[in-house]
Amino acid sequence: MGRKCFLETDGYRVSFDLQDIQTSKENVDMIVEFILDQHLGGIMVKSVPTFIAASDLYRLATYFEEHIAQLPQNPDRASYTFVPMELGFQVQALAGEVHAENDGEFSVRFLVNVGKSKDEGERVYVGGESVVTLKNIRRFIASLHEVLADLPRADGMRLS
Amino acid sequence: MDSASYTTPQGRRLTEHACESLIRHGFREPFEVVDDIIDHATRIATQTDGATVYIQRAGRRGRNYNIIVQGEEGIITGMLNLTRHELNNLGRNYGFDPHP
Repeated sequence: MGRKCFLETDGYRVSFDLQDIQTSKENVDMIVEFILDQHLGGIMVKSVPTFIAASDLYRLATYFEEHIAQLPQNPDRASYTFVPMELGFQVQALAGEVHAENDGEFSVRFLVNVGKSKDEGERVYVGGESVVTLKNIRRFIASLHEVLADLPRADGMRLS
Repeated sequence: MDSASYTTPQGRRLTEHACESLIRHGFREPFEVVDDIIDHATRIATQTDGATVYIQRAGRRGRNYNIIVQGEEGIITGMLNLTRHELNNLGRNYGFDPHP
């Protein structure tokens, strides 16, 4: 079974294309797509085929929940850069403003691992930075939890 | 590769996930490079979840890093030619000190 999770920002959209989800498999095959809005050229880049662990999907949901929780007290907060173990992407939640449960926004920098450089074989990342509304980030978090419901539960994971 | 042969030439156990993951990260069977990184690690660190991270300096300019992550069930994954920034990110995310 495959599923997609979308992160919509004001300028780009990220899609997690998760393939062959099974309750017995901790690691899921995934391709990440980064798509610029049409009026910005509509360019799309895909990550190399990568794996993401259920525990990393859970960690990602928690990462954004914690960032949102901290913003009212610290609107200039820049969270650490989140990476999964297989380095298929990098994401960093940045400064923003939260006024109410569903009223707010913050910047998100998202980079996709598109492959290796020719000479040294280092990974190359492509992406962008834009603003995400609380409504859209909560939608993304909810979609991660929906996927997690179909995956094995790792220690310490709680499903909401 | 069948399940009975999930080991490196030195007999270190590989999880089934590791076999697929290592190949995606540029390792080649029979994974002798995995043994080399572990046997000649520049430093060794421990993740929050208890997994061991073997770190070896690498690259033409000696400024990159190869790593192997080994848990209770065997080798979990490995990566070649990590930049210092990538290694630092992994350390921050998985709770190990990349420069002990």
